[in-house]
Amino acid sequence: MKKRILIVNSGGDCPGMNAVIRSIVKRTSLEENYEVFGSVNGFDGIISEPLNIIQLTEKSVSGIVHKGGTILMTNKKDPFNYPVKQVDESFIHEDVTDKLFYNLRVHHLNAVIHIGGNRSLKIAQKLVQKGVNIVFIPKTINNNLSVTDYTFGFNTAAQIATEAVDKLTTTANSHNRTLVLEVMGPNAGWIALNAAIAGGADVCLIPEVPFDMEKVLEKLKTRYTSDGKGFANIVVAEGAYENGTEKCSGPQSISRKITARLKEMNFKADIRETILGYLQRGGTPMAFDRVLATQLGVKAFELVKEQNFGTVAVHKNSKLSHVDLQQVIDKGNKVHLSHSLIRTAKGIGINFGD
Amino acid sequence: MKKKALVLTGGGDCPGLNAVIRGIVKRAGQTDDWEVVGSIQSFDGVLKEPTETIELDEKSVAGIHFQGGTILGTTTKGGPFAWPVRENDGSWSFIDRSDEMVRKLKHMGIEAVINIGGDGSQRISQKLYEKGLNIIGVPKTIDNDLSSTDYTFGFQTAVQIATEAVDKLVTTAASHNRVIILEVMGRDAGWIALNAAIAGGAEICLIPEIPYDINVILDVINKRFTDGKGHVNIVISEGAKPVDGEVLSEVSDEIGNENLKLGGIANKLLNDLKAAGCEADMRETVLGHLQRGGVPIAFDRILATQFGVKAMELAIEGTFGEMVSYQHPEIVSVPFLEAISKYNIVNTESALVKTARGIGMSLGDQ
Repeated sequence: MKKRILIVNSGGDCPGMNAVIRSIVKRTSLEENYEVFGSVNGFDGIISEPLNIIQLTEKSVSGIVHKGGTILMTNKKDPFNYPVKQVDESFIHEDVTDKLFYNLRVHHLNAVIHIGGNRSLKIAQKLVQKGVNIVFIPKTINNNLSVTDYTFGFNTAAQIATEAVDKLTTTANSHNRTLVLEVMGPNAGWIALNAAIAGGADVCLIPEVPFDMEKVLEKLKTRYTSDGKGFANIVVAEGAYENGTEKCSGPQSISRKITARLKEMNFKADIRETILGYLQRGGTPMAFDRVLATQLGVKAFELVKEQNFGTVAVHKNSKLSHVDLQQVIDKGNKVHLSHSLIRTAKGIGINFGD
Repeated sequence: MKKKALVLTGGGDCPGLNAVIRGIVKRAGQTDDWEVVGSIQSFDGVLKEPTETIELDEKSVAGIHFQGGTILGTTTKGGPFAWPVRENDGSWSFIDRSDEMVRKLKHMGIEAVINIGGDGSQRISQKLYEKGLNIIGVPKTIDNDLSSTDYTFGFQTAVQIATEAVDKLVTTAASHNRVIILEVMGRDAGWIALNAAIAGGAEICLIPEIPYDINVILDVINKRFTDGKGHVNIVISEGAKPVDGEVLSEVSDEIGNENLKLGGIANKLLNDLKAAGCEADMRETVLGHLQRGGVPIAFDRILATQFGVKAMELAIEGTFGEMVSYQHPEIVSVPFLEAISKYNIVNTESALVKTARGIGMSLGDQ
């Protein structure tokens, strides 16, 4: 009997996930004695009754390398705290990992390649302790995993956000407006920082640097003096916050809050905000992300073949390698104030409200 | 009086050049004592009489970071060490005007020169540095073939453009059961071809580092038509060659351009496959200078901006004789001699090659 690999993806979707899946399947198909399956809808596929797993062949992954999203579908459910429907239609959260473990064994799924972000990483660590043979592939649009130089999807998101700045710059210019662009990044400001540099924004606000509204206003005013351009662009990460206040949550949004604060402070320019939202996750992955994703897929299969489980396939210091999954205590890859990108941004006069 | 930095761009153009220029000018604008001038068409602007330079201030670089090309113009020929002079009989000879140029720069009050260019340009930088010129280099190559930096700007844009070409050629190849050959840039290094082949999902990728065997390619094509998809996409670098053959090139007719003009390998491959008995319908596309034009992607704009800021900072601190370099995640600088000592070609044992083989791609050798 052939050895079986199960691919599980969990967490938010991210451009490049299909490229990873395709790469694992194509690498597997070069081997005589392996076959590969996919769990549909995160862990649901391997937990539900009946199982919802599909065999993946070269045919099923043909032509998906440039498609956004994931053909396996995904969700954020945690098998250690899994919503189980009761007779009265209500949900109780239970640990269903015994069932997961049992299903893997019964169906001879000897290895799991788990594609996920920060939260999924913690789930994978606990599953390894239960004896599941896991190779992990990091995925986060926010680039906030420090085990790897870049995560796939991030460059695509930065590109989309940059193109938004490009567009907003011409309209801001034509109307002498101040435009506020809100991008993803609840804890790490990578997308905002990259888009602000690449697009040429005047102000960039990130979660790592709580901002001072007076400083922001000061910078904006210089844009409306006689030798200024007469328009301004602000790029703000969704998790940025004003000094002494809390992060926005729920229906609040930081971009609207900034507009309100600027008005309150008597800033006279016409201000508009754009919230980029899920546009950053959708669409065709950039070549960079497809190549990175393909590399990680091949690497993950090779780790499985070497029986090197409990590992994470990474691209670190510009090299493809792996690290021990249990050793990864990911504090999140935040933007350090000493980072060369901050230095560059300040070097071209971008203001961080500090 | 303010100190003057002179910036110039040399060699083939590359998306991101303007973002470097803007980075330099905006960084200088953060100081009180530096200003920037640009030399038109590499060193030609300095050497010409009258001098062709322009003052660069924040206004002149506003909004140029997303324009391809270079606002300063560029040239691939000549330079201060080999200035072309027309003889009476109509032929060309070359004279060394470097000493004259160094003197002229001093006379113009230039305290730092920032030379944005490829390995040829940085060789000139080193020679000028040896003559006592305060010069800093910014690497530029669309082929990513410099080993002292992780990436050069422009390369990812070229990869993206080539990948989008593969995306398009895949659907038309599939619809007509064709073999489509895409020729991309890459004289000595197959980086663009290899990345585009992986990202776009080509079946065959032929690069200069791995001479190809026409029979191997024919086998792969036949297999795709008998038990596969019935179409094949091939990405080939302009500098690729068969195991028993040579790179296709001709001497450029531009005066003083020492680089050979490459191209035509896609057509040769098509004809060779036909001669070897390939019955499939085949087509070729040569991407050419589309790879150098257009809007740089975010990645390259950021890298270019980082290089520009770093180069200006080297000028401010008085570090010369070095080229800026990206060594993830840092922007550093390396001496010219180290920077130009070796090419960055595709290592046949590298992860990228293993990845390509790992997804079943043929590199024409097996």
